[in-house]
Amino acid sequence: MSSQRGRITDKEIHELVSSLQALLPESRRRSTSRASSSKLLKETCSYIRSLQREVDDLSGRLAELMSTMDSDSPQAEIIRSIFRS
Amino acid sequence: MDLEHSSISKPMIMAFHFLGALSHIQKTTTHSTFVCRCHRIRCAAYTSMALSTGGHSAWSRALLRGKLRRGGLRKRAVILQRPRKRAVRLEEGCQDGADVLRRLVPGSAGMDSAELLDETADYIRCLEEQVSLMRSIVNVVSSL
Repeated sequence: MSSQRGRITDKEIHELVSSLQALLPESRRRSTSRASSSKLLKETCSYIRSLQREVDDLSGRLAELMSTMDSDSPQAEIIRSIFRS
Repeated sequence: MDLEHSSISKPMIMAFHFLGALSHIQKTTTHSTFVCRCHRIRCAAYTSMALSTGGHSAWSRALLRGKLRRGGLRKRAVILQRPRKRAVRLEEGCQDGADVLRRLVPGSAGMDSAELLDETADYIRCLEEQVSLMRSIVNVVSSL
């Protein structure tokens, strides 16, 4: 991750932008070749925010569920199930 | 337990760390409030995300540094005023979007656009894995 890339070409930027676009959920449904960069960045930001909100939400649900669990054996079961799936 | 990271996948490492943290949290928060437990689980989630990448990306190092300082995820009050390298430039009108992205992705404040896009892609992939892991855990636990 050093900054010894020298001159980055526009083509490389374009590739990076395209690979970022491929990660966004909406672009998997659409087949457009390329949205404008600023729109793409906005979608990226809102996608990151929604993922972070989901982490918060799932943390809350886990916290609730944990308060109802009290013995040790369910944890071993969880760990086994996760590694099976 | 003998772990060879080269032969164990990233999701497994993430699961290992996160489940270990959850187990520890459960033992130590029996008398804590819901908010306190929720906050600790959230911190554990980001820590296990950062640990699973092995420190290859700047965002994971920034998260772990923040945790070591016991400040959690600190907001950057001051954006570093280094002179921006103008060798890399997105289209005009994208700088606002790029600045918002720099606030969202940890450790990316001083980066140029190419690095920023790289880090963002990596961060998104890791977030998705973490979310999927947490969903599986919630499904399994709620069906017990």
